[in-house]
Amino acid sequence: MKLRYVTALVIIFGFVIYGAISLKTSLTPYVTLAEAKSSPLTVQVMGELEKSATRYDTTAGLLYFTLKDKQGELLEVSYKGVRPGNFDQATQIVAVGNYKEKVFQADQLLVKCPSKYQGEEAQSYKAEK
Amino acid sequence: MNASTTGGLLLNVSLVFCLFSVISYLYAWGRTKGTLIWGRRFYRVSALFSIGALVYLFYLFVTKHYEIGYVADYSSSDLPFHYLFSSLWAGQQGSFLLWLGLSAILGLFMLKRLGEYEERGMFFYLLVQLFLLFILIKRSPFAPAMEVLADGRGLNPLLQDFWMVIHPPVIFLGFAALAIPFALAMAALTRREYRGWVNISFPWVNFAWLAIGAGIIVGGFWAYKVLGWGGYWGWDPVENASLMPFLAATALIHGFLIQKHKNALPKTNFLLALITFLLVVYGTFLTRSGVLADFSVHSFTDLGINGLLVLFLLTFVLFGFGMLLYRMREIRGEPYGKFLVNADWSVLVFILVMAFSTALVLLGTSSPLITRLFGKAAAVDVSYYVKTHLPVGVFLALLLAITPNLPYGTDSLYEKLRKALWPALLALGFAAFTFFVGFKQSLYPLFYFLCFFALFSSVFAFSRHLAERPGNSGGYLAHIGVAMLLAGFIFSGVYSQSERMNLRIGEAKSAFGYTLTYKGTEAGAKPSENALVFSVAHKGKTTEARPRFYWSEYNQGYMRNPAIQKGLLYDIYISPIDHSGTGEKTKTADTLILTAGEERKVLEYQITFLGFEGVHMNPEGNEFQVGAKLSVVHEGKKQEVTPKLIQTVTGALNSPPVELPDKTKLSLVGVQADSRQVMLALETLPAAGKTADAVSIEVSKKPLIILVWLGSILLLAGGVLSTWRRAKEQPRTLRIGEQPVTKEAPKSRAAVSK
Repeated sequence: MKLRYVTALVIIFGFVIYGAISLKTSLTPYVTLAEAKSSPLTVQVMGELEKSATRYDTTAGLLYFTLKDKQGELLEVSYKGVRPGNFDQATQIVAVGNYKEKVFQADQLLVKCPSKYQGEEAQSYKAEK
Repeated sequence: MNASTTGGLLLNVSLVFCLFSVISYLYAWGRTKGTLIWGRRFYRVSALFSIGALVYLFYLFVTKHYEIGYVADYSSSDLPFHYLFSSLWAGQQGSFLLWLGLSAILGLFMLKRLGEYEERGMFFYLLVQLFLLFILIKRSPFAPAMEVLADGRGLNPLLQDFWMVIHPPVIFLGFAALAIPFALAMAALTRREYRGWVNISFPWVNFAWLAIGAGIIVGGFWAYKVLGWGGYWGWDPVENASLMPFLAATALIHGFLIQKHKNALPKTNFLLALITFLLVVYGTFLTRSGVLADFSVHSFTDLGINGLLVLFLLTFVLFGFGMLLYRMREIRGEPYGKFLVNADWSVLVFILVMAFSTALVLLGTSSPLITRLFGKAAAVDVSYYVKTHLPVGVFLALLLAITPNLPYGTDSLYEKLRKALWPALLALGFAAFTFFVGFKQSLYPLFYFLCFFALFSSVFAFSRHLAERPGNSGGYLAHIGVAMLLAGFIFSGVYSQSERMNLRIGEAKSAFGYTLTYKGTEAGAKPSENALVFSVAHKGKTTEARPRFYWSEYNQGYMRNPAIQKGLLYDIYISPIDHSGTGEKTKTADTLILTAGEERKVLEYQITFLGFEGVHMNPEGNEFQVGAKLSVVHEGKKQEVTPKLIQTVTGALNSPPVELPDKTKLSLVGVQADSRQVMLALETLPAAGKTADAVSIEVSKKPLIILVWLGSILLLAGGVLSTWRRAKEQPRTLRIGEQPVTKEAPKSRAAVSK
């Protein structure tokens, strides 16, 4: 009887540790654009799209764009993948990735669009690598 | 009476009768049976009005009542009739109404099948409908539109697909059905009778599992076929919201199996039944309250029903867990016995693995909420789910490989070895072959060996059962499906390869032994049928591939549908990335901000802002006009232009564009006089022939993805068989006044069958 409880406790304890560690290592915290530049980790940033700076490098298949936050900080983002469908109409973009070689290399984008064509539902579109 | 009032009336009448029914049923607890009849009568009226509301909303779609906001938001007059079903449940309110309608229909079916559990079971079941009605009345799908439009806004083209017509109702049917085991568990806890509810709930749990499973699979198939990012599952919160109840229901089915045959695990089953339904409510809260709006693709934004949703969730959590804790001490089952390597223990370990998996998905999906408690909200990325579910998958394969070869109850080593021999040998052969064909890479060969072992063990077990008790073989069929799915996940996921290529018109490039030649574009009857045409040559045979690439007015973006060359051994998946130079809808637009004296290069134009050109008022004095003097250099030629910004009497801003060389329009869209800044917008319609017609595509090879679909079909077929079987086993309908026939659990082990 006692053995059962011990086993159950060990299993639950093991699970909690396992879950907490996996969670901790996979979390991508939301940081400001300035913080993203100094963080070696995978983080999540949100900013407004600076439309004039967007370009698409067809040979490398890389999309480059610049985000700007409320503090006026700018961050250049590169994204290797399909340009999200409503990218050009984006008001805000969430990018997940890390800062390497002076560019924020995103591997996931979440595009927030003005809900011009839809009543209350905000439109977003996620693209994954 | 207008449409909005009629719709609202239907919901309100339903609510009133639902309340009457709940009160009647509550009154009938252990008292006169007469009120029970009234409970039923009121319920039937309420259900009729709920279903009526759903039908009425559909009628409003068909008859194009665009004065109703919901109808205008999700349909338009050019939408084909069958997609009006998608429209009906495309939005938040409509899907709540769908849930209510399906719940009402299920209620009518189960009403008379609950026997002694009717009054309490229906009481708890109807609480769910009450909540749905409250939500629907607060945010009615029948609310009038803010502004009345001549035509509706239309339906998202991504949802205009056959699979999206059936996906939501199937999922919601499952959600609605999961309220049944919950209600029966609550009824059992209040009645202090801890066995009978299992038999009544069993077919419903099976049915709910089947519906959610089918819904998830249909959703995955749609994502693969339409979305074009190459996958069928993305671990998005909305997907997870249906995966969690599915996993928990899988555990519950196996728990019921144990309770039926061994009369063990009664507490676990109560806990699982409560959790399964609570996960539905929690998932609804996560995806409907807007808490995850920054983290999910298809999550809805806040509609002001958060309070209700939290109340919904808390009520059921407190009611459920409180009641279970209160009764915990008196729920007694047979002890499980000493640990043996046998099928009984295997099932127990499986339940644990499922609970573990559910908890991991729950943790990941809730991560933005959990981290918000400690500071800034953060979500886990997809790697979290992949990482944590790799061991889950391995465990699952291991259990599936071993369990079918184990006897129930006994512990004879000889029997174990004997039955496992052939599946193991066959799996080894297949795995070795697969390995030498080229599927190497770290420890994955070990994993797919386990999957093959699981597959053959399940196939053997299935054929044994098919010969002896064909009615009972559904579970094994589902197991074959799971083994195939696991193998399919590995091959199509881990061993998937992709290559990106850029092709000009007429150009050919090869990948994976396929030579693709880009032939140009082809306009369809509708914009959404515009295709990029490729000829695909492989081993002397040439076929055509037409991925779609089109501009969607609705989404204000480019849509991409892949072309898939399906094969037995692998799929070749062609997804368009970018397309340039046809001049049809490929506008390039840019905006820039310039301070006086500043010079910037944008597109092919060197633009300098020279200064403001006077502020004019027209004679009446209420029209205001300002111009920005610009010098524009294009291909060595310099010109000066002065775009204007006009504010009319009404206050509306008007920016008449000026023409620049090369089909470009320039307009002044904003002025900040104090900082001497102007905002300019450029729009270019590329001249045909100027830039070459070129595409950028991604070609992927997805090995054995057929296993995913085949596995899914077998899983569901197994689910259909076992649901059928459990429905036949369900205790006979009891009429009022009849004594319930209590079925004794079989005593002898020999009679035990899975």
